[in-house]
Amino acid sequence: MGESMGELVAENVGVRYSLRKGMFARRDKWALRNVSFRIEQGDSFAVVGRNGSGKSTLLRVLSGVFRPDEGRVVNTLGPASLLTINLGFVQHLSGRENAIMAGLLQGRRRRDVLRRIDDIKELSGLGDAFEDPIASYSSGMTGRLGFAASFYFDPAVLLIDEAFSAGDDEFKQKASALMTEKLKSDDMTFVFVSHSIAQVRQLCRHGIWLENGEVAAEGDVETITEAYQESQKQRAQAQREAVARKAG
Amino acid sequence: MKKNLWELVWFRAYADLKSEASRTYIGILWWILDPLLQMGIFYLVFGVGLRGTGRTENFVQFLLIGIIIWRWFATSVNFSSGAIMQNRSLVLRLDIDKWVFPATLIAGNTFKFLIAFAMLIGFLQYSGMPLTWHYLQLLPVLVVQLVLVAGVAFVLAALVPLLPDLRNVVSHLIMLMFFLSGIFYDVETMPEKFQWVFDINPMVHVIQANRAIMLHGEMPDWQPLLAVLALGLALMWTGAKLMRALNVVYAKALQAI
Repeated sequence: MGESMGELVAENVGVRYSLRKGMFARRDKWALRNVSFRIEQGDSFAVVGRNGSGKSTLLRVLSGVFRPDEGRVVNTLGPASLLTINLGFVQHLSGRENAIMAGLLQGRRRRDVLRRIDDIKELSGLGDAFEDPIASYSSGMTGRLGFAASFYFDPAVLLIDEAFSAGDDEFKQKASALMTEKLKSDDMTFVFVSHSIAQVRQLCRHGIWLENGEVAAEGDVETITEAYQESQKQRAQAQREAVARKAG
Repeated sequence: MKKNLWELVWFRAYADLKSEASRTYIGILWWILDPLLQMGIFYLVFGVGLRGTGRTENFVQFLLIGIIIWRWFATSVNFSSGAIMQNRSLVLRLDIDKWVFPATLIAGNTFKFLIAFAMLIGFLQYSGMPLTWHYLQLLPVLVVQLVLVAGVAFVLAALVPLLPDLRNVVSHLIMLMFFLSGIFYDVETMPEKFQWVFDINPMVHVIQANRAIMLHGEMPDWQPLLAVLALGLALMWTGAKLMRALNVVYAKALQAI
């Protein structure tokens, strides 16, 4: 489908939360304001920023969970969905059943999921444990199942929130190799949210740095991650000084 | 897309039932044992004369039909009103049609009801109640009740996430409705001036239809049942419309909690 180039564009997107303060009092807070960017098909786009900078809210807007209160998102690429590892997993169900659940939650038909189920089992590396209830799994095993179950269902835009850190080194290598392979494909577009500068630099070409819900920097990934790291250093320095002043 | 959502409803209902069964040692046997014990207790208290038998003929049978039918309604409606909130993590991460959540709870509850209902029919036959061709009309009567249950459940499921206080009101209203549905008394023996209360209560008509068939071997009165069906369909439509219109509002409302 490489010939039909679509894009994902955010134009002055703003999202407002209304916080409850007491019985009738409410206070509005902008989680995102004036956020604009353009992502082309096949691109992998980074969003960096501190906790509470609006990264997750942005992914919710892109996945259609939230509608922007200001501005708009224009998506001509196709369905965008969040890579939702372990989402909706049920402890008493087996690995196989949870994999089916994951596929259904991602909008797949049951028969499509069943066609893929052996690949999912293989990728998870769980072997016979695939038939056991996941309540008996270690957190690493659950993570592997979660990754395997979401890997096979490709939306046009894959939104990834934080790194996949589950499993042992062997699995991480396997997962990372598969991700890199997917990232190379021209069909799929990625939006990658992370604290991990190293990972972002490895996987993405462009991106934005969000600070207090606004775009603090945009452009190629080196520029924005450097600017972000610099601000982090300054913040840490300011904190140390504040502590020193208090102590002094 | 719609087909996928129905598959999701069935699979999540199955998952809920399996989880519930896994939490106890004898698991699925409880779905049989629960109604059995309930019937046993009522038989002990009202049937063998521990507490006066009341004025109604075959009082235990009369009461059990009312209670089992009522439980299906009350538990489905009660659980469904919290259905969207209960699935907060999914609502915040997936752009998914919200009717799936109450529908899942209704499906699981209906499965358990059908087991209890089969046990009830067994008990009624054992205790010599009539078995007539009118039993075939039980199926449409149950469909009418299912539509009513889904209607009330959808409307509440749609509104409670935005008005959480409504949930507190609902549990009291269900209690009030329990006492006004003629479950442990015959509404026809009540004073004339209160009859309008029973006339406007859809559960009265549903319970009376079940009793007509299973207790008296008679044809149920279809006129009020058709009104209940219309009410149920109207509520379902309203609830589904509301959930569709508010689809992206829920995520924000739940985020702020």
